[in-house]
Amino acid sequence: MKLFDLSTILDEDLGFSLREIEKAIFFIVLAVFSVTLLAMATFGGEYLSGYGLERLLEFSGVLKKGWMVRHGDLFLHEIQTLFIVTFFVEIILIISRYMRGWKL
Amino acid sequence: MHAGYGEAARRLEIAGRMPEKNDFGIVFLVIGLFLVFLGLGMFIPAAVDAAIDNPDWQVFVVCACFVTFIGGLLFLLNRGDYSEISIRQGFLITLSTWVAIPLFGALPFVYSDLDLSYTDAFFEAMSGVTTTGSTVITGLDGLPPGILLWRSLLQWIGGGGIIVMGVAILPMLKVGGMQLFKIAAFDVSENFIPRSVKLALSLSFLYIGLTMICALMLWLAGMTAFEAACHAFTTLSTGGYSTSDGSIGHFDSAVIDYVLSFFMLLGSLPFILYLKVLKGQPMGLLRDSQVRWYLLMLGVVIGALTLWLWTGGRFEFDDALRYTTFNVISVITTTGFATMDYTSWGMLSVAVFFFIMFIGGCTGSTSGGIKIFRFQIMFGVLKSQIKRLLWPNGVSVVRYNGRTINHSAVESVFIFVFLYLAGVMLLALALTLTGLDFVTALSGAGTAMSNVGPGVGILIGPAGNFRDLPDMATWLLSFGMLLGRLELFAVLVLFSPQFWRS
Repeated sequence: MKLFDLSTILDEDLGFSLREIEKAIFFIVLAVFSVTLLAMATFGGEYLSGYGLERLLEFSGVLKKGWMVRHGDLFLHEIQTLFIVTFFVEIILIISRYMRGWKL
Repeated sequence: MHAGYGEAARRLEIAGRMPEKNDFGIVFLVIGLFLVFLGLGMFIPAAVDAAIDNPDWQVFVVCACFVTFIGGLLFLLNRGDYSEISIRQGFLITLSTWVAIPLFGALPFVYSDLDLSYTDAFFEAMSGVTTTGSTVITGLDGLPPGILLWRSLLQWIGGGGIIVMGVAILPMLKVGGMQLFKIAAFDVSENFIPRSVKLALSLSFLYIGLTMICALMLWLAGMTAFEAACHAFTTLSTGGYSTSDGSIGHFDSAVIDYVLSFFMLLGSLPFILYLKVLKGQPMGLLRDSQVRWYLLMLGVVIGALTLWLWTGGRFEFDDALRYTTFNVISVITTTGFATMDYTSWGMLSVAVFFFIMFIGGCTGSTSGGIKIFRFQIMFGVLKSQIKRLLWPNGVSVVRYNGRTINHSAVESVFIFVFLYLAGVMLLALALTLTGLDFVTALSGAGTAMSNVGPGVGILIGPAGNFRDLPDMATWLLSFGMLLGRLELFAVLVLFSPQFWRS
């Protein structure tokens, strides 16, 4: 039993190129930025929508005035929970769409 | 099978060839590329420190400019017409990248207020990038956020690199039986973006997405947004750096413990299988025998230790389950977070934690160690040998995941485990020569090679720190971490004259 059977390993092709490494690094960095932006946009969108809805309910009299001041923590907690669910679904959709027609 | 005449002639022709300039040019080029992005990454902690008016932001900016400049220079000077990468270049690129990143990533630790020596700074950076989690820094609770974030980011970058390396590179290099995980995605050519890039990108989406969800859940569970972000970076990467000297014990929250346990577990499962689940195979994870073995083993260890602690009267059942679940998952996934000093639970726990640190998670994940699939294959060989003794004329084959494994893969696994254990012994021996006691040396070698983090004993145990080690021991452990992270072979192959000749 040899510790290193290099002769068989070194003769094989690796299967990817420098161009792929460059592309992969570039796309990964791009993915970091785009997913961060998506997360910020989703969270911001949900927060503002929730805030707008709360203002509307306050205005229509369903909620008492100043509800947000008293329930700020609860509101943030609900938005965070909602964000986790929507963001998770978004990530699943992105990856599924990206891998369409691709057999693993 | 004998190679044909043409093949033999080609081998003879290249036998005496020394490495050409291009062999190294492409290596420097790729290092340069990574350094540019590492340098750009340093602007993130700089921005965080600048936001709270901490003077360390200047250190990060200067280091960022320097690293980006060096990286840019390497990239531009070596720009050229390179075709496909050879296996030798693949090995060189893999190793040199894992050395270059901590080499330059250590700079902020040296020039910040921490005032670490370069030896300690390199250890901290290497421990970060290899997702080991051993630290030389004390007083974490009072450190500026930039440094804490940089440590976490190094682990996160390392974790991402390990996933891509485990899925794309190591199977190609046939390291320690990893050829079993060569996936079809690399064998199919496509016109636009090659599938290896697509795969890397899909895994990145998943890694980033899971990190963000982990951060949000930790925030919900009671951490501050900054603590949640730092811990999410080091949880998915199974790194284990914390923002507090007390590690996760500082938060003393069962919810945080369970959230972290869940995400450490996610980080230690094969990421490629998550993609299968997303591709419409919901049972893809559980169908994999490696995952089944892993979860079964986790269940057995956690169950047994919980019962032992509970029936021994040390903890109530819920506390015993909480502490055991967290600490066992932390060590077995090679994360290294701690909620308490589990070595104080008794000799059984010391022995259990010492042995499980070598097991590690699944291949294609961010965790280190020997990895479950190698134990499966060794068990398969054992079964086959017993069958042969019972039925000498029967045919018995070794199977993994329903497929028959060829002899060379089995050989690779045994060689890997042999080298791994020999490496731990030699490293432990070298550490004792620097003046460390045997328990510290052996557990230090084990924790470094398995990329776990804490060792066993007062000095480097879960309640200890690596700061008091002699410089030589620090360098040796840094080498051990690299060796373990690159699955030994990718480093050791460079010491073979044949590698440089052919």
